[in-house]
Amino acid sequence: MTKDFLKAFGIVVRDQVIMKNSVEITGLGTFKAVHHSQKQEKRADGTIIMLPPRDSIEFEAEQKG
Amino acid sequence: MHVDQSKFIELLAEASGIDADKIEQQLGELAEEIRQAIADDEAYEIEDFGIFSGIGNRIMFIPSKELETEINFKYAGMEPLEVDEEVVASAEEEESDEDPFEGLQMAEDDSEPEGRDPFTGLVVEDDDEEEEEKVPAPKRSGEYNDEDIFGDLSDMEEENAEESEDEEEEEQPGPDEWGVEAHKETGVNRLFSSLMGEEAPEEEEEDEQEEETVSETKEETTDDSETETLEDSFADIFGEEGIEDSSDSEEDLSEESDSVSGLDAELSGIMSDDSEVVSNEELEAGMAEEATKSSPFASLGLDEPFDDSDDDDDDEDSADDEEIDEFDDPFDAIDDEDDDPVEEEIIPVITNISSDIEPKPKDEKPKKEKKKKPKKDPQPVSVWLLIVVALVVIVGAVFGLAYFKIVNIPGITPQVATNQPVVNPPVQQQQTTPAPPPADPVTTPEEDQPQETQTNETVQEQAPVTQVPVNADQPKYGLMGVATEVANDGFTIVVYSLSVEKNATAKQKELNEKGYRALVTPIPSQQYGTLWRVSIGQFGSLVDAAIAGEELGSPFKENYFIKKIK
Repeated sequence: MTKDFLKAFGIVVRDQVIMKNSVEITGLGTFKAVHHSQKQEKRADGTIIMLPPRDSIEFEAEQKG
Repeated sequence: MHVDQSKFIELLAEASGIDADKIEQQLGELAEEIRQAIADDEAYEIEDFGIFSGIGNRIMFIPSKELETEINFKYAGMEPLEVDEEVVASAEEEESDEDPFEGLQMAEDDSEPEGRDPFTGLVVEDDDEEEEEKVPAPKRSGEYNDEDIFGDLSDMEEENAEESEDEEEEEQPGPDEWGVEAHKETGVNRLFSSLMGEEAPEEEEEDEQEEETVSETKEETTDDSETETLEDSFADIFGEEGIEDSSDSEEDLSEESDSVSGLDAELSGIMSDDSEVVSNEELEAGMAEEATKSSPFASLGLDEPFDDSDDDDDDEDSADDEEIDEFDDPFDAIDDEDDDPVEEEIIPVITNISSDIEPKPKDEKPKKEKKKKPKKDPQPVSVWLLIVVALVVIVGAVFGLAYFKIVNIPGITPQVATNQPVVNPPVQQQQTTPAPPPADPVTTPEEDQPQETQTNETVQEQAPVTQVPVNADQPKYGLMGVATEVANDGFTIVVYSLSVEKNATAKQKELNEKGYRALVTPIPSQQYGTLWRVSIGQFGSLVDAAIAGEELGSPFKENYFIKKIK
């Protein structure tokens, strides 16, 4: 397992997740992107703010058996 | 879209240039190492990608910060947007006004006639709830309780006020002590206390002895009445010591004629306690002798025993009687008035005379005064210093907290980087670009103070650009149509964030062809360079933009965000 392979592994997974694609790796699990829409939140001082949206990467481990 | 194992291997082979077989082999090794690490209760980290860890048999993945930021590159510079409470409240009211009325109308139709009857009201659940709400109401409003509470508080405040007044009254003399007069008063007190106390009598005795030793000839040559008044005055103040000191001074004078060093020795001896005791005993003995001597004269009704003794002791003084009488006249006038002025006037004269003759006691007095002053004065000085230092520290701490934005203080917290530049760049752009008519293809944003708090990256946002002519009949705001400059004071729906301007303009054209109001806004970012955000629609309020966003089609509905145009 080379360093170039690990680097390419990270880049490919990242690009696919950015493109909202899910990546399945046999024997390990699936990476997928999750979008969190903007939402309102009330602060302690009473002001209401609109939180910006964001994307996150989630991983689902492969089920054994 | 789903990328399976084979597709992923192809992509890895393209990205790394490694053969697919080797990639498949290494991918299997990677999966095996991760599972092995998890089985050993260890974490497995891939640099700049993330950490695989396990909880039990489950494998968790924690992405690295680099991966998180790269995934969210299109939201770069997005900060929480402060929303007007009025807009939210109005939206909530609109929502809440619809449903509750329907329910209330149904409930009122049934419950109103029953609610008026006291007995049927208990059966209805709604009325019970209302009654339950009404019952605690007086407790909450609780005028009596509040009055009691406030009464207690007012009592407490009054007590505190009284205490504070007492403290102020007690503390009022404090500040007076800082003035020059206060020092004078303390000096006077010291004089009086010295008359009554232990330390000062020594000084006064020294002063009196000095006075008597220096002005010996004057006092001895004065008239009998003067000697009597002086003796009486000293006797009133000191008792018998005044007269005794006079006898001591006479003995000292005889020694002064010998040498000045002898005087110094005597004065140093007088300063000691033993010499005082001895002098007192001698004085008492002298008083007894004088009493025995004066008794025959008293029987004769004459008051001249001292004059005789003085004449016998000092023959030379008789020659100076005339000169001394001239000096004694003002003292006689003063002595005849009161006894207290005599005391006050004698003391400075004593110090002046003694200063001419004996410098050593004069040197000792300031030392004592210097020693006494620090005992009383430093306490308030140190307290004030502590208060001032504490205030400086508190003010400095508050200023520091405000400056570093830990505490938001409008006057101190630096907000220039967030708010002010946001307003200025668009204004400059408007000045450089001529104001186009509504039908012009290019639109520029209006100058409007944005309410969002943005970072420096978003501060330099430029005007969105449109290239389609505007119809004169189209409304100011909306999703479809052509973007106008007038509507740039509202909100828009961002659907693309691209790093290449050409791609952004291509998307804008594509959207314009579909009939959307498409805008392209450049956003400088330190991390990703300039991003080009393609947005659609111009809306007057955030709610309108959100409603339009929910009505968008499938390509945009899942991934969009609303942003204030400028």
